[in-house]
Amino acid sequence: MPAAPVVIIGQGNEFRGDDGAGPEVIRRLKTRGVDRDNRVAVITGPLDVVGIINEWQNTALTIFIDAVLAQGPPGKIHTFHPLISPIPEAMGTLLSTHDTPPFTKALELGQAIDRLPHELVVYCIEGQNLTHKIGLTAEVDQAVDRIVDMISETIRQFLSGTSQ
Amino acid sequence: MKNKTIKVDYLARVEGEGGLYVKVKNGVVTDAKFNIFEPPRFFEAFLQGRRFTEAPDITARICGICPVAYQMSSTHAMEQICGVKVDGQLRELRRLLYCGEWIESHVLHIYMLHLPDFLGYEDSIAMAKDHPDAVKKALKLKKIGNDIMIVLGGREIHPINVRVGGFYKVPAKKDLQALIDPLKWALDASVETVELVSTLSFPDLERDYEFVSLQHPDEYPLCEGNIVSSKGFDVEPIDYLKHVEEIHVEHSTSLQGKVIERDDYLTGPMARYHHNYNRLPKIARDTAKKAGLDKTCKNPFKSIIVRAVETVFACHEALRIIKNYEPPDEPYIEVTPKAGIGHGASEAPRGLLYHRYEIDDSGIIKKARIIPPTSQNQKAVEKDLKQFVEQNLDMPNDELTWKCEQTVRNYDPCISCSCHFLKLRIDRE
Repeated sequence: MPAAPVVIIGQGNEFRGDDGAGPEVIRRLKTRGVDRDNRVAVITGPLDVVGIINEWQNTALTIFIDAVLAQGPPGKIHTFHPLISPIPEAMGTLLSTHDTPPFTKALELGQAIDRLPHELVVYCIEGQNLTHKIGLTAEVDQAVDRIVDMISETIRQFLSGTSQ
Repeated sequence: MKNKTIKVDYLARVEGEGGLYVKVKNGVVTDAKFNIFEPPRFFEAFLQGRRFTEAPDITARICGICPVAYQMSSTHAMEQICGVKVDGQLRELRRLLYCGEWIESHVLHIYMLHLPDFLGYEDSIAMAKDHPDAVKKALKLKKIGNDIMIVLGGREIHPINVRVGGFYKVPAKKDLQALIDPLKWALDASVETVELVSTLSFPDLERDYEFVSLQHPDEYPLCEGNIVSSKGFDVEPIDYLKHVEEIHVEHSTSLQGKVIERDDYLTGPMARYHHNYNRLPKIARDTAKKAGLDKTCKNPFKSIIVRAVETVFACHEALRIIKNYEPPDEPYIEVTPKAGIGHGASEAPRGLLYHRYEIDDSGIIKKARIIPPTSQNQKAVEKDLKQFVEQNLDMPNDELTWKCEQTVRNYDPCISCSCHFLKLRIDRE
């Protein structure tokens, strides 16, 4: 199955409160019909290391969204371009509720075997509540809307330079 | 050195949380423990009071690596209770889904978790820097297993398309045919994998295992067959608990399996291979022979070769099923509940997975019991550790500790699966 030029991965667990921010971004992007363009694939995580690499390899642009707890206010959005400048170490270790964050491992392994997207954008949303519950806190919910707007615009601009 | 202690608090490259502890006194191993401290997960209790149709989806959540095994063991148990036999193309599709799980799980373990041990790397990322082509091949192979899961199961982790009686939806012929070319590549790549791992250097350890696995008269087993032991019993799943029991030990939150009349036993690729060698397709047998494997492998470090041979089988079997596929008229057989007790056994990538359920006539689960492979293998792991250390007392401590970790990883243990148990007592006034 050939990769779409643009892949958007929403990482997270919808049953763990604000950790569901990534999957919720994907849900709202689908509602907007972003994936109706066959140049765009949207993926709901959680993906493991191998899954992330398999999805982003050969893509022109991969957008990765995940929740973090990095001591900022809930709903704060951190944006990174890890192929241009490294994600700050403190943030890198917080990109998952697991001990070994799949994203940072995927980045490391992808670099080792030259399996990276051409361009990579990472949006991290500061969460507040990662307990067993369904639903986002209000600030995170609003941040999801902002990210959906940002991604929609990014894709629009990106695809306007790409032939269908 | 006559006295030493080998201790690993957190084992790397295994699923779940566990450690190991070996104590040597006067040149004799006095203690060898495979510590499992991951908290119990209460799944048998969750199942009580739920409908029989929910068991496949609830139990699939026990493991992100082998959810199909849980779905298959539970559906077979429920169908046995209700007097339903799933056959024909639906049965074939179940085998195909299981092939997808074997491919992704085996490839993950062979390349990403086990191979770094043999090549002397801390992990697969360090290994990838020197062996990028091997890792690229692994990713591509694993993805083909994942793709089977997606097409047939709806998604690659915790598939959602399995139900008691069959599937919610069956794939169109063209959906499966799209997998043929990737699987042809995968078959070749899996043969190359056997060739690669057969060149590794293997520590010298052989034990006279009691191999326990499914055995089927016509096929390499996945979902059906008798449970057979190389030292005695040959029974249908309904009689399995007459021969094995689970015991609680202080150092493990998982129950440990043992054969009632003897002691430890081994489930998994080496056991399946021993009992079913003649049912492997010719390409798998030929590849095994070229790799220097006999019909029985008793060196647990060589389980990596057996696992690779089973990957050849899984790719070959998936191709066979897809080439013969004709969509069935209905995606499932209607199953009406009736009161009773049922047993299901299937072959998870890492070994035999046994389920037992009791349901009432409205289909409500009254009791559930699950015996996962890693629970059953714990005692064998500890005996391997004891023998390996005794044979290698003069090995430098760092190397011995590494090799002890590798001894555990030989089993591809799934610790999160194993620590599921719960004895529930409710006092009501």
